[in-house]
Amino acid sequence: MTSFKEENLLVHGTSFRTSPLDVREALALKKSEDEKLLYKIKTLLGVDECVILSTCNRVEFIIYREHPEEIINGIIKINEERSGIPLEKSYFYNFFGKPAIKHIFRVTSSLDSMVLGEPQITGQVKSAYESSLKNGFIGKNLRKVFERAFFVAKRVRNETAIGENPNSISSQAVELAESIFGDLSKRKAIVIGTGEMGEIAIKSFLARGIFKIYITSRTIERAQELCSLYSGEVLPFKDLYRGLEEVDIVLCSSAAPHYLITKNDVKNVMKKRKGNPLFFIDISLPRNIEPEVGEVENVYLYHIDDLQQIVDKNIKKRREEAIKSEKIVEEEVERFFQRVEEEKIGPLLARVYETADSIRRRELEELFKMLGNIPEHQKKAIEDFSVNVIKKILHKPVIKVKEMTRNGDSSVVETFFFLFGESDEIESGNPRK
Amino acid sequence: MKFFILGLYGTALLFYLLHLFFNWKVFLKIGFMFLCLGFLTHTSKFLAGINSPSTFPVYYMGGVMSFFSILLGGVFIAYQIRGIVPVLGYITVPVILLFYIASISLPQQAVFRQELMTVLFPLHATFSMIGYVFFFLSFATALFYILQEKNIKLKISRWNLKRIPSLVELDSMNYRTVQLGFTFITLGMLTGSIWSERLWGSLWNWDPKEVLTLLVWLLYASYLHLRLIAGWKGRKTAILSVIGFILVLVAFFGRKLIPGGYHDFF
Repeated sequence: MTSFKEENLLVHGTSFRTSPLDVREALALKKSEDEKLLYKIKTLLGVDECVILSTCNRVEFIIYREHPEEIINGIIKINEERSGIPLEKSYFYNFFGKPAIKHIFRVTSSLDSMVLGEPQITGQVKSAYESSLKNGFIGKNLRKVFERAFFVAKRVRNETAIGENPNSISSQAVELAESIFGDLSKRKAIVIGTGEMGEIAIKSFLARGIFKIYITSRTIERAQELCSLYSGEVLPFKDLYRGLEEVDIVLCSSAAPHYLITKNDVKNVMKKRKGNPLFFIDISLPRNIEPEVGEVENVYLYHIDDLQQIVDKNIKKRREEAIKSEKIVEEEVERFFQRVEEEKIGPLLARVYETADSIRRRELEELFKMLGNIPEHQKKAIEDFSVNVIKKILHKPVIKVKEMTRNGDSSVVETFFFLFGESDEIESGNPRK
Repeated sequence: MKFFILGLYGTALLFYLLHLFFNWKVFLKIGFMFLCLGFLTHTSKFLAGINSPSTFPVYYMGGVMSFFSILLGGVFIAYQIRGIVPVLGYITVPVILLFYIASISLPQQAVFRQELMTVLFPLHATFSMIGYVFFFLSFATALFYILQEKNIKLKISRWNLKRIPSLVELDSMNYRTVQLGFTFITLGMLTGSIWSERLWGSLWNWDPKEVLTLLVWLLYASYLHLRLIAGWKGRKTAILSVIGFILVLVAFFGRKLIPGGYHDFF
């Protein structure tokens, strides 16, 4: 039985930290390409255990194989072929052993994400792992690594507040909308203006299942284009006030040099809305919604600066939480290797017990022969006695040797097994020497 | 037995408070479990003592407190099972415990009164108290509404906004509880009138408690009216239901301060 060897683990990848977007785009897995690529890596490079993680911010190959350093150039070559662009070595990072484990744990826990603590990455790692599992590319080594990684991600999520507060303007706006309306699936929104920020906000609201989005703009073509992209509906600019009566959320990102909506407009609209709340988000500069609009009963107005302030606070909080999270990861990396070490000596310890037990049985047999006919209950008592003696003699040394293993004190561990005649096993079993 | 129930309610409160400060779901679950246990034990003890209208313990303050704590517990548990606003527990569970403590420290002795021995009286008391329970819940939702509204309007987020239900949910729960409270208090007043008519021959006696309850009724009636006709919603109605509940408290306890009338058993 071979155990996990840390030098066999390789993470070869590229992320937003090391390569430009177009390179990552070219490298990203196309739909259902993963299976083909996994088999290619297997047949060309002799890899049995492999996970390919591909997101818009990173593409990584996590491989368990003997001498993984030998195949790095091979992977780059395969990637050059499938992406069709020349790849520089500097785009890629390679982690082996302990740093590789740490990297996998950090990525899965969203500590290496562009947006610190964003929740999607854990799911993305999970589906990458499941795809490999389905295709038979997960052995007991990568299983051990990934199952632990998911556990670590869960711990980080439960024990820190890293994912709790939104850290972008659009997600903060969505969260505020949810604090007002709850479930957004029956809510409608108007987006005024067709700027880039507006588009990002449309995406965030759609992601939370908003019922309907109207888009209004003075340039009707752009509005139509956005509508066809996000299945919205064009609202002619002259109908804006009629729209205000119907929708719940108004997002303004236009470039008008003056107020488009004033307090008086909103007061009139609110009379027709029967007091139903209305949420304005003004992300235009200069303001397009009169600040006093926020004073109207049941009307809430957030300007981009208000949102930015909350987001800044949240980001600060996230950084503090990230420090806690890194500690958890460090702890878990150590624990992972302790477990590996413990598992390594497991079979050896079993052999020590076996040897001791066979000696005991041999001696017992001779003893019974010598004693001749003795009552069954006495036989039983003697047998129990012998078992207990062995257990008690071995108990303390075994505890100690497990402890030494955890502390990485391999010389004592070797001596222990040497004394019990199992010394040649440990040398091939301990990679850290 | 007393202290056993007290312990269950107390433990429930402890876990609700732990949930308030640490926000771990498991605390909420444990707290809810203890609350249910407390409620069941308390209810069975309460019911065990009843075998006729005259033993229904609503003739003295201790019994009324105990009954209120049971009703509030029951309604709150029903709400929480339906998954509605567990944070309401931060306000409700302390009140359940408080009323239970009051009930065991106040006199338990029933004053035997011949005229009360009819099934109408316990009915009148039960309807009225269910009404009070819903008014309390509307008060609690209104408090959260006002807090959350202030947070959003003034753009301060001292609390994690997500932990409090959304304004729309709080507002609609406030509306529903007022509707229910109003229905039950109306039933309570009707049964009370019929009972009084049978005893004294008149439906209405201008007794101080009757007058106070009428004020309560009028206030919640105007809440419903303003909501339906004038389109009042949100903060205004939340404030109304806070005022309404203060009036309920006056009608419930303040009666002691005004002499006279025949509601003199509590």
